[in-house]
Amino acid sequence: MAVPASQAWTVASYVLKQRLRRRERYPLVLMLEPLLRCNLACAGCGKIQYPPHVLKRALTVQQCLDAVEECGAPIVSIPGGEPLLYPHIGELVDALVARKKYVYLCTNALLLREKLDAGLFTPSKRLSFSVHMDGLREDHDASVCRNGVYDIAVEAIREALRRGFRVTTNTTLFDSSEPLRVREFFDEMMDLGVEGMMVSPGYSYQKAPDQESFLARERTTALFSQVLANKKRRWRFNQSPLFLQFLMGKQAFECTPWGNPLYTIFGWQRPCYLLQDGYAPTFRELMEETPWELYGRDSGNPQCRDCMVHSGYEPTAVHAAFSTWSGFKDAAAAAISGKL
Amino acid sequence: MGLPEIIELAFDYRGDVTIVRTDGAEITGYLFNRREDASGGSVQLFATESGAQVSLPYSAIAAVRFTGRDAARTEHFDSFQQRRSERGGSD
Repeated sequence: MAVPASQAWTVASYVLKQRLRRRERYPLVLMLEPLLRCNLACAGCGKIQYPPHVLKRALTVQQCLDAVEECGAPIVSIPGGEPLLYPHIGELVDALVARKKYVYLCTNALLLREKLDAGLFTPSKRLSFSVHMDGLREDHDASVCRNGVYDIAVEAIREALRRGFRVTTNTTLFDSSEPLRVREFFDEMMDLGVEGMMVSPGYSYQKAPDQESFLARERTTALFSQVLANKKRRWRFNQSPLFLQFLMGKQAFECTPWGNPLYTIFGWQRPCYLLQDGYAPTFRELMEETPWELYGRDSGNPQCRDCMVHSGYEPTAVHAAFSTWSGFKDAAAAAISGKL
Repeated sequence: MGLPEIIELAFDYRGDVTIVRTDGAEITGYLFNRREDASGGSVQLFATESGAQVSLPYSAIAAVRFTGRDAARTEHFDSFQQRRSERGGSD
């Protein structure tokens, strides 16, 4: 299993509690962006294109903790921007761990070695560095538009593992991704010793510099079918097998945009991690006043048509495993057999 | 084009805008939110100079000018690709 048993139990008991309370909509992972600034400018990223005075802003630690409390999700993912640029990142992570949250610190790892040397973090079963790796050296460096980043990240991963930290990788695949190279990359990450991998197709951000490499839905399922066909047993994924089956076209899911809510310097983003249709001042307002029927593939919203991104569909997959017999059966079969 | 449509464009714009108020005063900043409601609607922006978060009702807005550079119109990707191909894959 790619996720520690205690984390799996926390998530399972949380989802079952929501089911027992008959909550129709509930968050699973809080996406917490304390700042939007980044030390890379990746071609497929549409999250950092703001005026300098906006990029200089950051949430306070208290604002972050208030958002965590308000949301109540058992997992907190800290993307960005680059969270290691956040001056209070050590204090924030410590506070989240103390609150018994499972934390995924999403980083490009350029500063990871430096922060580890500074003693900013303490190994914990509740803290995982989720390192951005979009493929083998040449593919990753092209994706982040800077040569040498792959080697720095690999070195930082080795060092984090050596110090006893949990390390996972997060990978975005684009139209240019070659299945055999992606499979080779999975082997390389497993050889490196990471706990598990997360993979998702890129979302077609309107503000991203490269508008030609995003995947349409049919192309996504074709690519992931090739990448994950005859999945090797040694490949460990830090995500639901049902989500991976969905990417392969083997599961039909609808989006759960409220599953991974995003809190940023602007507030609670409507309706999801990817679309920016406005901001709610409170989590309650986000959940109760967002016209959810306008989003997701079934809504006919063109912005949702090709989206198969983890932030919308992973919560659906997790929910399905606990709410339908077929979902439970498929998830259990994948967990036991290691096949998708 | 009416004010709500112009505000929608400003909301989508990744640069600063200057809002001319009905009393003639001007405020420049990044407009990051807008909401229409029974009272007519309001916008929220981060002021460029002071950094303050400002809220303005639609009724107080006379005009919106797009005065800052659009940060989403970057040459970074194109220039990286060009540099990369010129150097045979090395940056």
